Amino acid sequence: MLKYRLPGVMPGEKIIKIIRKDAFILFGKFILAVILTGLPALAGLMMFRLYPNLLEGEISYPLIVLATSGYALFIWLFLFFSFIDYYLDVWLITNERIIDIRQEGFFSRTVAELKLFQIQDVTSELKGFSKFVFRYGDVYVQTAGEVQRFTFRQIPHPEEVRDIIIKLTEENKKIHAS
Amino acid sequence: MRGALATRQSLVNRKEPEIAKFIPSVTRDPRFLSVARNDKRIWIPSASRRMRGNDNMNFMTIPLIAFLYLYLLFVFIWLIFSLVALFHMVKYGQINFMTFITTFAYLAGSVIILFLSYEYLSRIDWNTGLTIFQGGAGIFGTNNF
Repeated sequence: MLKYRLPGVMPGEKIIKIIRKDAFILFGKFILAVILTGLPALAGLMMFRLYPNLLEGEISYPLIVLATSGYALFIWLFLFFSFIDYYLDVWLITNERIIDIRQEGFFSRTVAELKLFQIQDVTSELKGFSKFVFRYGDVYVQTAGEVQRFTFRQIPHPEEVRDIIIKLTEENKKIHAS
Repeated sequence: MRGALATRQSLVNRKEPEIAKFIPSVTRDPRFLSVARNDKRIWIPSASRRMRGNDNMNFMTIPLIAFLYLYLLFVFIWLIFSLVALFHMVKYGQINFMTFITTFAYLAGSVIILFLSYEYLSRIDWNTGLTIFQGGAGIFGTNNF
């Protein structure tokens, strides 16, 4: 069984699938972190070539050390938080419901859920070049009587996820009908 | 300590008597800060003030340690955010090897950055001051910048 601290776990409830955004999204943030690290490093190297005495200065040297250390800490935290944002933004599909957990910034976390027997329509969408090539997209879940849709954004293999939800919904509706 | 300590006479010779008269007889006088100027180390009054006599030159000294305090404030804020991030990871993360390894990697990386920073920062003489003469900062120890 997939291990996850399920919020408000129901009796006999099993996790069928844990879905996160596509790893391509995380890779994009990693590339951004590399750029944020590389550009100041490149600028620093150019400065040291232009002003070779920068690391000798009694004032410039401590300031460079402080700035480098502060920037390294900032980038490290940025990278870790990018991972957390990816890793804790999760959709859980169980045999009873769908749970949408969103990590929004450092101090915000939203949890929403939807019972499977309430689902009326499930749509998957692969739109755009990168989404089509890397096979990631969105899945929209429409419930009876609800205007607002439940959306799985930028997830890998959306068609497969749609099929799983449809299958589970049908099974769940049969159980609730009997 | 880089650079030679300028003597009163050397500054007089370099036509800087207005600075020379501020050189204390005891170089560790707390009223004075050592600063880099013309690739030399000189001593000037530690508080911001207008120079005496008929010279109108203004200068201001920012103790280098002020930058260290700013850095420590940044590290404190960084620490709070790090603790919040770690809390999220431990409390809401999936119970698996990935959660463990990323949390461990973050802690290890942070310890390495902080340790290296300490290693470099502990070697610095924080009694030095950054002196701004007539709007020009002597950050690089020369007047050319």
